[in-house]
Amino acid sequence: MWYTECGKDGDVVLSSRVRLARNLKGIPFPARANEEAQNLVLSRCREAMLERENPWQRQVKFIDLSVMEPYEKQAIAERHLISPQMMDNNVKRGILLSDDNQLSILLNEEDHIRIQVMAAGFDLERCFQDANQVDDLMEETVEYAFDNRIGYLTCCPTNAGTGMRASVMVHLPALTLSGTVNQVIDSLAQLGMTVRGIFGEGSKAVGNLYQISNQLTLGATEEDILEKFKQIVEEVIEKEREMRKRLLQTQKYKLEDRLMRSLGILKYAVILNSDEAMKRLSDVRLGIELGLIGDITLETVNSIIYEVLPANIMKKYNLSDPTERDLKRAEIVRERMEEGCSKID
Amino acid sequence: MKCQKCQIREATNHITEVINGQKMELHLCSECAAKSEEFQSMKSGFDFGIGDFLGGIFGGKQKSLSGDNIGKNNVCPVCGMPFESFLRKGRLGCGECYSVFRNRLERPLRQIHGTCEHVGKVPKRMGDALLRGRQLSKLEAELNAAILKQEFERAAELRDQIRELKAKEKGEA
Repeated sequence: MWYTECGKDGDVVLSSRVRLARNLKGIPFPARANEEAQNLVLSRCREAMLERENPWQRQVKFIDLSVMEPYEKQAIAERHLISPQMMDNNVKRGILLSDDNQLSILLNEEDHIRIQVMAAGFDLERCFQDANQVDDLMEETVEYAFDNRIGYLTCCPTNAGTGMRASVMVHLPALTLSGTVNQVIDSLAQLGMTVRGIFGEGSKAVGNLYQISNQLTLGATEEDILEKFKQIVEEVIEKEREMRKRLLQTQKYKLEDRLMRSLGILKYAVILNSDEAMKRLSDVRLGIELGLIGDITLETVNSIIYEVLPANIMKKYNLSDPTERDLKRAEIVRERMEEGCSKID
Repeated sequence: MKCQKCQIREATNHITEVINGQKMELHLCSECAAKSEEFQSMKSGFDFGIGDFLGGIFGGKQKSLSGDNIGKNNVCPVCGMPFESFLRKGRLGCGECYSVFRNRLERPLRQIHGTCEHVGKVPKRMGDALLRGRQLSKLEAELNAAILKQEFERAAELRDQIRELKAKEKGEA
């Protein structure tokens, strides 16, 4: 799966995502649509993707969110397949999800349609290509709300125009440790980029993971927006790498000690809450990226991250008590760390 | 003045409450204020999300260049959303809202994106005509520039291109 693989520039960029916001012509946006209209959006989109011969048809399935338990929804939100805004039951919502989880079309989120394509590592071109292809495909069956001057019309005017939001999830431990990350965030804001925690709007940065995305969607072509975004992310990657080198040069033993202690805790702890797990995993990830920890791979760390988030544990092991989950979390991490080590030996 | 709760930090938040004629004053530092019940109850009902700020921008100086009455067209006839609701939440009700409230949206769109001219992707089904229109206006602008600069050879070239494009359009129609 894309969220466990280690792709291009995987030492800093965990994953890339491109999202296109679209709405159907003549139907009010989800928040103002009645139930009948909401269902119409779902059925039209299902028809477009599932009932006509197309390259995605066989690998995409419809998931009805209105029949799911809250923790099940949270579990897929933790994998970024739906947005946290889709958790409530005020609107009939659903997703069209591909088997490899790379394509997730969110239906009746804030907009009728949000085509979302994700990939491991720094690979925005692939994401855009696929999203664009799906967009063309849907448009063969449905008519979009589009204005000659303003472009694609969206519920929030901050998305109007291309409706395109590109984002990357990045691991910035060295910029965070050195306290320079806030400066980077300010500079990016001035360049029209937003930096958030990994679960989007309003979330805090856990485990030194940040999500960077473009803010402007109108007035430039999709290609130009992507190109500018890519250049800026490349710059962030370079800064993080440079800072890691410096940290290693100036405080090698202090840093190594910290990373190794975290490795020890993950290998032997009996109780682990999710915040601590994310923090320690970030340290171990940095250790691997710096070549200080050799017996575990980044893929192992990636897969642990998604396995130990609260709702995912709850869903898999049916544990609703937080203390039991913390015990289970520690157990999973211990096992994975051991497997990871023995696989490499 | 020191904070009344922690007695350590400087008080920067001041709240005066009058209950049954009894006046009560509270002076707190920002840390204690964030935790205090009094300030929590004051903050409740306030939205600090993006919608609120957008509402500020969009609701700002309402200027009507064409001189039309801003009081009319206050509700979108398609989805029934009143413009006030947009000012509060920063969200529109349907695609038609953009046409209905066009005059009041263009200026703020410029404030957010720096422009309100979409130059990106165009849906295929309306694409050909639209792209041709875009190309046509670009060529015409170039033609005018060429004439101004007295580059007549270039102007003739452009004129031919425009003719060709227009002929194609007629042929298809």
